[in-house]
Amino acid sequence: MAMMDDYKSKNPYDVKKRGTFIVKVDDCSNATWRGNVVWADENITKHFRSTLELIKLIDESLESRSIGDNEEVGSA
Amino acid sequence: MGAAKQMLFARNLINICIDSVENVDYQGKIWHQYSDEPVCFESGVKLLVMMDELMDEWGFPQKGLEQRSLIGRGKKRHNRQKNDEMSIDKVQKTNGTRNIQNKKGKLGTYIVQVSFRQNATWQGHVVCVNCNEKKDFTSAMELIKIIEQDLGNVDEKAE
Repeated sequence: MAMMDDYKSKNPYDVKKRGTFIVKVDDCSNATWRGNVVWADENITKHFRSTLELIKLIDESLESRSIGDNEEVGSA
Repeated sequence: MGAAKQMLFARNLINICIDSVENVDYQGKIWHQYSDEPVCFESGVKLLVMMDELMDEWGFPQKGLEQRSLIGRGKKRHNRQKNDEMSIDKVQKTNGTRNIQNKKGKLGTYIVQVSFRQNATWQGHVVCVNCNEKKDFTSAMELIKIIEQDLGNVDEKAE
């Protein structure tokens, strides 16, 4: 556990974040996924063209919510 | 005599050192040639995000598709420098280069060369240092699967 704490203390991303996402994978050829993701909290839909893009879409949404509005997200 | 050590040579080499697997996720460090200090990651997601950010910073390899956004972040346009100098050249001149192929993770070490960033994902080669194998990947997910498979093999050997 000490190892984990070590990484967390050094990591700027260590903030509690929450969000709900609905993911629909339309196609999984070429070693990746393509489809749509709905950010349920904000009702925003986006098309993603790779798993990496999906991860980055979700990550940046959570990052944006973690700035100053954690409590609101927690109660939603 | 053992097989020749597999190596990669590229300006955007990244050495992924996995030190622990906790909460069903990876923790470790990434090393690149332009810094003495590693970047720590505490999950597989952060590993991918940080690697992509590094390549964005270097502008190499160039992105084939612009990243989409759920938070209405304005599209970033690549501002070409007046003298056409690439960001990675500047970074190289400012920071110099270091050998990163000697860094080792406690559980696994993976030297990654991303050759292209097409179809919003990565294509390139990875050397699994523990088993001295070079593999190709055609997406970021495939890279993660290669790492997962290799770490699984390490676990089996340990048992």
